[in-house]
Formats: sequence, structure tokens, C-alpha cells
Amino acid sequence: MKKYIPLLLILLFAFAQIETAEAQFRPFLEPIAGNEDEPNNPNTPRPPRNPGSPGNQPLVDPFGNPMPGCCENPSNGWEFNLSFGSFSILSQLQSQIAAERAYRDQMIRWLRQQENTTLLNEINRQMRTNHTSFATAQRAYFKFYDGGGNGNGGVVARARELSIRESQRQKSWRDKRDKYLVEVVALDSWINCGFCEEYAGLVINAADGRARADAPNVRRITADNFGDANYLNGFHESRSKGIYKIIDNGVLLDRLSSIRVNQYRSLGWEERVLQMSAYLVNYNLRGSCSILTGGNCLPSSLAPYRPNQLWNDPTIEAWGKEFAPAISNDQLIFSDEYVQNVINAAASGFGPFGQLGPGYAANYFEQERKRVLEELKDELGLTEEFSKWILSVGKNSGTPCGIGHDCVKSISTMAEGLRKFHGEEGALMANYFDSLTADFNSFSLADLQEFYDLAKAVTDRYNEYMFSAVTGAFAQGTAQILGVILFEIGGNAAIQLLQKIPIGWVFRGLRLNNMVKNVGLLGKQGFNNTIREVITSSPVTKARTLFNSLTKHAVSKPTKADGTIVANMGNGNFITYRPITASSSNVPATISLDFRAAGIWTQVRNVKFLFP
Amino acid sequence: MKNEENIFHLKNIDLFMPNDGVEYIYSILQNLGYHDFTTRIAREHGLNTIRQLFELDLIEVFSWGKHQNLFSNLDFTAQQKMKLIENIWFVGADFSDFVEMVMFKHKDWYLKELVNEGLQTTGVNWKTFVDDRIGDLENWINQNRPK
Repeated sequence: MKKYIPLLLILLFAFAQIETAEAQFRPFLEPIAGNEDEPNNPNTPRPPRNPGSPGNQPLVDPFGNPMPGCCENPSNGWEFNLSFGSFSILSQLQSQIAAERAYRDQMIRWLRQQENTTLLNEINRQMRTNHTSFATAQRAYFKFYDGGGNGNGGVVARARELSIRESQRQKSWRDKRDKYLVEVVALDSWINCGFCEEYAGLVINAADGRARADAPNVRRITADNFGDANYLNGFHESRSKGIYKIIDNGVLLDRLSSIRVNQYRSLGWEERVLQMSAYLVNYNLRGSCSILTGGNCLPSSLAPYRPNQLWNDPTIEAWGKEFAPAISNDQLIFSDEYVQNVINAAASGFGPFGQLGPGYAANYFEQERKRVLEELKDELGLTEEFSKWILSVGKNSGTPCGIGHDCVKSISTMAEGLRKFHGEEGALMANYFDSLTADFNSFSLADLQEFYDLAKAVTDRYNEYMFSAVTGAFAQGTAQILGVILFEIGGNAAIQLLQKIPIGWVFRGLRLNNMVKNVGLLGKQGFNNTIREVITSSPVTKARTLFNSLTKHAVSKPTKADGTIVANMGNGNFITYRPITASSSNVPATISLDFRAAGIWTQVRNVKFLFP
Repeated sequence: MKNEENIFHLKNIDLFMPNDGVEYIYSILQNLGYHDFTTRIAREHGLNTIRQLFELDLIEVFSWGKHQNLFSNLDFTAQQKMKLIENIWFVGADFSDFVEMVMFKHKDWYLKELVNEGLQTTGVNWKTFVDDRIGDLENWINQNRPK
């Protein structure tokens, strides 16, 4: 045992040293509970301790400001018994009460002072602002808090996600609405032509008489589906816009901030300082607290001051709903719930049809639904022929190319409709599809499938854009085609596809500019945003063939001594092709696009074609 | 533009993209921030920059373009090279003219040291690479150049 004594002495000494060092480096003195030197006489009321008395250093707050003895524990003064032998004890009691009141007043004064001093300063420091009033700063701070600092994160980011989600749902329902409408038109055509062959099998399997007999029923269900999709299209559009609105007009952050301000103001002074400080500390410690604590370092004793989570998805959606634009009447009449409510009201003599009765109301809605369907058909240009073509294009899309699906014929069908229904831009694409018919024989089945899928996607895009009254299907389609040719399709087929790019796509002016933009965005970014890297098999042949196609309409195209070809595309625009011999980095092939004059880019763009 | 301009200024960082930064005269002008290559100011600034890059032993001539056959076998001093470039580069020259003029490449020691720092040939953002791996480029070049 003796041998441990020196060790214990060393440890005791070390602890003493640590204590001394800690005291030296302690940032501020901790409040002291009481004076241990004073005798504790339960019958003698003790006057409050003078914070400046010897042995008690002045207290400072966490920011280094002098602090009155706010936090000392005065309770020891109350450990005495009241006696009734003389008045002196009452006088002492009176003094004690007065001292305690003065002490409390002092504490409240100190707490109040924090708002416009330390709290305001820290708010300004965190937000890098210069607010002079605590009330304004606090309101702004709560927006800062919920908005993730820059007003773009936190609840705002979530609301944006919800708005986008609603917008995607809207688009999905709009596409479904269009699809059902196409089917309704085709079913009508089939029924009206006495179940003629040309529509057979486009919508329902018409192989037997039973299917024919079912046609009116299928038509009714399809029209109902159209109605549901039309309503949901409007519903989600309204939701999306409403949520976007509360981000845009600031209501989202304003409301959250007001709730926090009101919560704060409902508190007493002691709690206010603790609550506001909790927000400020929470921000300073963000990201540094264990996930186990929910990212919050507040000790359990301070749990009541943990900043409340005021929002969730339903809150955002509910607030967005308040600001959502009304769903149009033409969409609302397809809501079964709405229609039923109006009919029920009419039965009770209320609502818009209160005088006319439920039968009238029901008939009104039926007629209105028919009207909307007919009007939308006209609006989308959905003639019988157009609908038939759309359905023909989609007919075998799920069946792989080969036996059972003549993909070359399907591509021809696409070309036919593109030319017939999609104007000049449709014809440009149709010419390309048609020019490839002979080449498809030499394609592998996989390459043909790849091109069929591409052609189908491009055709669908044309239709989708037409329904949404959006232009740009050609530009998008050509970009999509170049991407697939260079990165998805095998060597020989890719070269054939590049060679066949029609001159109509590269006529100098808008058409060429469109193709140049596509080429300038191929692959991925290189060292900086003027350089693109296209990593592909046969980079030299592909680059050269693409260059040849791009420059079919060049003014001149001389080849220089080092193999560089400089195509003058007119109006100060140039495209060059460089082989490896004219590349200081040994790049197999480079296409440079100088379209500064056309205003496409302010800098020359280099597209490097590299081996994988 | 004055001789004493520090070409290592952050805005000129793309001049140091391996080879691509200096390949053609238009590449140099573009990386100095010019969109119009035809002005006298651009030419003077470009010539000064090329001179400094030669002095720093950072670049060499890759090809003399349409004069390649004439000049390729001759051994010029840096000063003579500069004189030739000044003569070839006429005021008003634009993209299609530069394509036939002198081409540059970075010196092998520079390219090799960059590879030693982990530079890949594709999929690299130059600014990020310099920030992450190099830091002060001027300092790095001074430390790594052949002694």
C-alpha cells in the first residue's frame, strides 16, 4: 500500500494545478451559491450579499460585459423562523423583503437590457446586418432561422420541393388527360364508322364481337378517366402555384417569424432571455451537435427553450392552399365531389340550382363536361386522323424490334405523321427518318432498337409540345438524336446516322445555330466551360463525319497544311475540324465552333473527341 | 498594356490550363478575357503575355502553322521567336487567321509536374484542380521549375 502513497501525492498535486489553471482560463466567473465563511444562523435573516464585497470578484456575462449579481442564490437569507417576542425581527424581515425586491428589480433590469445590447449584437453578427432595434432584428432573425440563413434553405427549400412535386403531378395528369382524350376520339371514330378495320385494335382488342359490344362502355369509362385527369391537372396546378406564391410573396417566412415573435412575447423576462439565447447558441453550434440529440445540443434542463419546429409538409400545403388560384370551372366540373355537393344543395333548394332542382343540375354538368371535352379536342387539334396516328405510333412500342414488330415500318409511320401534323419542323425530322430507311437493313437489331426508341421519344416529344403549345421540339429532338448517336449507338450505324443528317438541319442561320448549340453541349465540360469532352468509340471518324454534316452548307471549306479544315459558315462564323497532328495535346479530333458573331457564345468553343 | 502585368493574376488562371490555355493565339486572348481578338490592345496584351510565358520557360512553339515548313528546322532564340510572332500576327487577325498561325504548347516539365500533382487528362475542372492541389500557382511554378 505504501508504494502508492507517492503516486497519490503526485495525482493530488496535479489536480490542484489543473484547478488553478482552469480558474485562470475560465472565460467568466460562475455564479456563486453562497458565502461559506458566514455562520448559518437560522434565526438571523441574512442581508443579500454585496457582489462587490471582498472575496467576490465581479461577474461577467458570456460576452464579457459586467454583470450584476443576478444569478446568485439568495435563498439562504430565508432560512429563519419568525418569532413574536419583539418588533425587531419584523423590522429585519421588512428589510429582507425590501432587499429581495430590489434584487429582483435589478435582475429584471439586467434581463431587459439584454435585448437591445447583447442579443441585438449577436443577431446582427450572425446575420451580418446592422439592425438598431431588437424588435425588427428579431423578426428578421426568425426568418433567417427558418429560411436556412440565406432565405433559400430550410422551410423555403422544402416548400420549393413541394411546389415542384405538385407541378410534376400536374404535368403527369395533363399527359394522362391528353392520352385519354386521344382514346376517346379514336373510340368515337371506331364506333361511328361501324367498327371499321382501320381503327380496329388501336384502343381495344376488336377481334371479336364482344369487344365491339363493349365499345360504348369503354368509351364512357375512358371519358370518365379523361374527366378525372382534367380535374387533377387543375387541382395540382393550383396547389403548385399556391405554394410557390407563399415563397414568392414572403408569407411563408413572415408567418413563421410572427408565430415565433408572439411565442417570445408571451414569455416573462427570465424566459425571454433564455429562449432567445437558445436560438442564437443553436445557430452557432449548428452542425456540431450529435445526430443522437437531433442535431441539438440543448441540455435537458433547458429543453423548454429548444426552438420549436413550427412547420411540416401539411403546414406548407395548407398555407399554400390559401393563396392557390381557383381551379378553373372547366376543370372543377369534373370533380365528382363538387358536382355531387351542388346537386345535393339543389335538392335542398340551395346553391346555384336551388330553384331548378337536382335533375337540372345533373344534366347541366353532363352537358358542360361534353362541351369541355369537345373544346379541348379542337384546342389540341385532335382530329380523328391525328388521334389515329398517335395511337398507331404507340401501338407496338412495348414489343421489341424483330418478329412481331416491324420497327422500320413503325419509324415510317412516325415520319408520316410528323410530316402531316407537325408543320415545317415535323417535316425536317420526318425527312431524316425517311432518309434512313435503306440504312436500317445494315443495322444490328440492337442499334435498330436504339434508334426506334429514340425516334419514338422524339415523336412523343413533338406531340407533347404540341399539346402544351410549347415550341422547340425540333431543337430538343436534334440534341437528343446527337446524344444517342454519339454515345449509345454502335460505330457503323452511328456514322451512317451522322452522315444522313439532312442539309435542312444545317442551313446557315437558325437551323445551323441550333445544331451548333447541340454540338457545343455534347459530352461533358473539360478544363473550363469553353471545352467539351466527348468520350466515344471511333472518335476520329465520328468527329469528321459530324463536321462534314454540320458544314454541308458552308460558304467555303479549305483544308490547311496541318490537316485542319476551316469551314466558313458565313457572317463571321466558323467551324474547324482538327486532327491529332494539329493538336498540341494529342487530342484525336477537335471540332472548334466560333459562333461569337451569331451570338451563341462569347467565346470559341472546343469540342474534343476522345477514346474511352 | 504594360509589361509588368502579373500574368499569374487569378483572372488569367485559364492561361495555365495544360496546352489548351495557350494552344492558339486566340486561346491566349480568350483566356486573357478578350472576346474581340482584332484590336491593337488585344494584340499588344497578347504579345506581352507570350513574351512573359517564354521568359518563364512555360511554353514552346508547337507549330508555325502555315510557316511550319519554313521555320520548323530553324533554331530561334526566344527573342527571335517573339520577333517572328510579331511579324506574323497582323492587327485585325481573327479566329480563322489564328488557325493558320503559330501554335504553342506548355513545356514538358510543367505538364509532368501537373501530372505528379494528380492531374488527369479528362473530367478535370482546372480552377478546382488549382485550388485543391496547387494553391499559389506562381509559387508552385517557381518551386517546381527545373533548377
